[in-house]
Amino acid sequence: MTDGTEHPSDSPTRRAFLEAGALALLGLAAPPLAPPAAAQGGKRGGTLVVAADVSPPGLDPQKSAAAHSWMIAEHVYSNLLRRDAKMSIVGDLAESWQVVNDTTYVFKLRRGVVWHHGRDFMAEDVKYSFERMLDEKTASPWRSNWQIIDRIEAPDRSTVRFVIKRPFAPLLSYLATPHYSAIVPRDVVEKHGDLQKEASGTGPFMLERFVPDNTAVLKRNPKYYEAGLPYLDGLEYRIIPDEAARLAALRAGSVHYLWSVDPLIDRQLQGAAGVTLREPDGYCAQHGMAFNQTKPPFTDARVRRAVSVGINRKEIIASVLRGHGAVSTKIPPCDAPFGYSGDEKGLPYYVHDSAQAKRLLGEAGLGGGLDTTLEVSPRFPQTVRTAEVMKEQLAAAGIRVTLKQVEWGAQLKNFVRTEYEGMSMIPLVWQPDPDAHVYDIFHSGSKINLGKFKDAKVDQLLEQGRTTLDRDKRVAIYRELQRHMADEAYLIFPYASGATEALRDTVKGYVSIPGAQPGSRSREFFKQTWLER
Amino acid sequence: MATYVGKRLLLLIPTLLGVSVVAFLLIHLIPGDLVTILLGITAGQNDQTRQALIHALHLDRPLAVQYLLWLGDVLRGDLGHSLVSGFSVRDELARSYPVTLQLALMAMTIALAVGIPLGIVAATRAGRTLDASTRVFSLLFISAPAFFIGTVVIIAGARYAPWLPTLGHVPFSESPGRSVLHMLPAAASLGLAISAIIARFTRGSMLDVLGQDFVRTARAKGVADAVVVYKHTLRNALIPVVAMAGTQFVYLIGGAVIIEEVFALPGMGRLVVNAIYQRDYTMIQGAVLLLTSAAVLVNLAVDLLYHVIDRRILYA
Amino acid sequence: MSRPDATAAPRLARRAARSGSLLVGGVIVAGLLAAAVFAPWLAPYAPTRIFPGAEIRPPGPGFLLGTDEVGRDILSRVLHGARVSLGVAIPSVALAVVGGTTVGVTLGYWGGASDLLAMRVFDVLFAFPPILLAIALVAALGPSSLNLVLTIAVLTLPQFAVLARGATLALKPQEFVQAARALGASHARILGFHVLPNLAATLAVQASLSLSIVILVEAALSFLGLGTQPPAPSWGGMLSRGRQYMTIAPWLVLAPGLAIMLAVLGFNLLGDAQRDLLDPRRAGTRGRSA
Repeated sequence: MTDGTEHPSDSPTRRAFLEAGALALLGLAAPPLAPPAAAQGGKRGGTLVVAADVSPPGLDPQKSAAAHSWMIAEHVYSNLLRRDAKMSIVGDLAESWQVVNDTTYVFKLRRGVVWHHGRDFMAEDVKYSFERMLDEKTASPWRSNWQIIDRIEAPDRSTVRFVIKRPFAPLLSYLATPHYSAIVPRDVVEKHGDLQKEASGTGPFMLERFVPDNTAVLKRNPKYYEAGLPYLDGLEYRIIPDEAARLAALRAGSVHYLWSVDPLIDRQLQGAAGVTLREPDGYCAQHGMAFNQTKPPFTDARVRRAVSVGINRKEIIASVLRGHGAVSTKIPPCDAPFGYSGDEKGLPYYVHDSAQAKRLLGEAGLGGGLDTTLEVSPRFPQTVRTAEVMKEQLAAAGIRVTLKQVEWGAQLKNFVRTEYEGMSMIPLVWQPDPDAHVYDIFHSGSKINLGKFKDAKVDQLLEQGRTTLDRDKRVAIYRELQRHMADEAYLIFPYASGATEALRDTVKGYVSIPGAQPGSRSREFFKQTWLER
Repeated sequence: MATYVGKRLLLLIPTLLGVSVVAFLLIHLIPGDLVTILLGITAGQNDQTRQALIHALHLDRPLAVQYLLWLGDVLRGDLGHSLVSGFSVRDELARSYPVTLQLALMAMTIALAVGIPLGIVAATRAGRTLDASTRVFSLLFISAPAFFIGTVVIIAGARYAPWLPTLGHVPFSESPGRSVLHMLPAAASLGLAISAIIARFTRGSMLDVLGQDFVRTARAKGVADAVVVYKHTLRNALIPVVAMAGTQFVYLIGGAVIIEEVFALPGMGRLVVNAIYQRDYTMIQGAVLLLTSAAVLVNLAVDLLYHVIDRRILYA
Repeated sequence: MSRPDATAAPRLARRAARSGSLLVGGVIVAGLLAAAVFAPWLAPYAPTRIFPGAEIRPPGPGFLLGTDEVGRDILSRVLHGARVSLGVAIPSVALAVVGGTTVGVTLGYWGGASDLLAMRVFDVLFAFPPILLAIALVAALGPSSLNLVLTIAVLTLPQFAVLARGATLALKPQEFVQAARALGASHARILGFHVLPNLAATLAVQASLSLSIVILVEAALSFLGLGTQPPAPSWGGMLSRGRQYMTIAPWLVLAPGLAIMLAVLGFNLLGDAQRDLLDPRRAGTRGRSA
């Protein structure tokens, strides 16, 4: 085992110890994943039916940016790495790996893995998968993520070497994110043109058929490499757009699983026999409110700070989410310690104070109050409700907000290009790495800087966060960044929230990992789920 | 007759052209950046990724050129591919249209089977409790929005008959019996609402005809009451009902979006609505063509039916 | 059809007094209008006022019809909903009537090449799936009340145009019109004194029926998220959002549902009554106009 990092030390054993420690910090060289089957005692058989709200516009994980595509694709395809129930990165197709130096990563692949369509899995497949994403013709939404790659080598059937252009801390996180780095087979892609309707992967379930707007049916992969798994004979995703209908189906027992962001879901399912509710283990979904900082009044930090103290985050959580949420910065609590876990006192301008808001406005020369607009889209009722409550709160601080409801497509365009008056708020998607949460939207050089602000300190922290591989150092950098962001109030985050899952009692062994919006939560643990018959 | 039909069919072409141009312009008027919607925020700002997609979708050409490109493809039988999923538009239409058609036919059958008899009964016993209760029934079902009726049906089904499938769709080709049974709750919700309209119409139409001269003459001649009712009035009364039913059917094949949403039916209504939200231009264009052709053809069929019924009623 | 004679008016009045439909329909519509106009005074609370912690309360003291899933008073929302629903329905139908009649009468009276073209355009409009048109228009224009009114007006206008055109065509060759022309009456006079009054009856009937349909259209659009935007109270929106909670809180849907049904009932009855009264032989236009 070689290690290119220099360690000031004076003895070989101490050096070896430090090396091992350093590697451990980088989350490396995990032992092979022991099959959990023996411990749980799951029963074989049965098809689990999931009630989905939106039909995926295609199942190709490398082409579709829609969360509903991934929720199916992640059971069909595997990645080099993945996350376990505690959100730590462990090996999937990669048995072990080493960071040779800042820019070189070597992965040792599992043997005996077989594709759904029969042939053996090999290192070439990994190489192909990333090259496909980098190919312009694929028009993959993930292309920009992987441009850090210089080259991929497959020296033998079970070894893959990644050489990247610069040190890049998020690399392993990205490799553990199902939709960013699904491994796909060249021959099947070339046969069908893409994987939108046909699929072949190495995951626990195989795609049997996909009928858009109707169902996606998966069946058990008998050759899956984790012994004994999956327990289920099959998975079925039924597309039921209407929430009332989904709930009725769950009560009747024709579906086993659904999720909901309705804060009253517990009352709705009260008294429903055979149904259990699960609250999320962490809150990961965000809303972001941006200011147009190309012109006054929001060019003045005091005005932005006034808005930040003018809203009452705790009250919003109580009223809109009925308590199912937490105070947050851009990096949500489920990504602790990078994210803040609900302690608003540590963050500047987070504690509600209308009087302070008025004072700040006064200092900025707006003693008579401020009139401004807030764009939201009726496509997301929760966002609209949040905006309504914020409007009432800000009124007490002399900030008179007019809500402007805009159709989603139009609002998204305005938001991304900062072409709105005043403020705009949308729900944000969870990202698998702190860098992904913040880099593109905060960096002054980025086209989608939210609000078009420029802050050299922010830029510097972003660059450091991206290139520092030491985890503790990274945590410190991102916390510092978020403190600074809160201090300048460049963006406002009212809360982090999550979805409640509802399951029939016959579903056992289900574990979900927090992460992302409903619909893109990683439910890889369906492979460990079984049905009590 | 043949020339009449031929002429009408010929008129189909300019109508289709007109509709497709209107649809094309209308959709492109809708603001919103298709590329950002497709790629998501982060990827959508990467210049190369954006340009690659824009070029692949022909979005960098002027509107008129895009329309003509599309038209050229259509004339060759190629309806193109969804901008969102890449699926073939023809495949998607072929998958979803039968569902909508089946729903429309089943709903219409229920509507006529329930509505016409109710209307006749109400008319021939006008002024009594049966008439009144029929009117109440009609008004109830006319004024309750379809999604409401549908949800009540689903919830009642889940509570009292959980074994009865209400949601989703079994293709007719797979199993006709199960397919019809599966769709029954949805078709019934829709059909009952329409039956109310048909019942009112039939009643009104029957009352008109019953009051007319030639009926009085027939009665004076001593023809038995029942015969008077059924032979002489029914055919005349049916003409406007046929016309009304035709209009309803055209609406139905336009895709009863709401019923499809509530009952999770993978029909054209949902397809088109999602296409509009996602700015899936090619899908919308293809769907509009299909729906318009269907509407015009159904109108033609209704008109022909009109003529057929009409001609046989000419008395001396 | 000629100009009404002197005895027609009193006869009409007597028949009107006996018409049950007119009475019931009239009372209902008057009630709705009153609710719409006087809502701010009749409603106990502001319709958008949120009472935190009071979500889904059953009807009781303080909240006569209960509260909704957000904690707002349903009675107040239903009353203000009358404003919203009628505030969309009446202007849009009025627009459709005025616009449609103008177009239809013009086409029917002057005819010619523009008439042929216009009929083709109407063919296209009728063939265009109405839901698609509505969704596309609202998406293109943006979800505001004004745009909603415009969209519904556009959807409803063609019916009135065709109706007006048909009636005008039927009137044109009639004796009294020819006579008036011969006497040198201007087009305006003929239109104003002869054509329009005869049209009025048919238009009134159709307008009443259209109003009842528009109420349902607004409800349907609200279901799709394209109708009146929250937090403004709309019966259709309330009904759509309340459906989910039907099993645990039926009052959420009963109140707006009944309101919608009353409105549709009222306008239908009025339309029926008008048809019975003004068209005694019930030979008015029905089905598809020529």
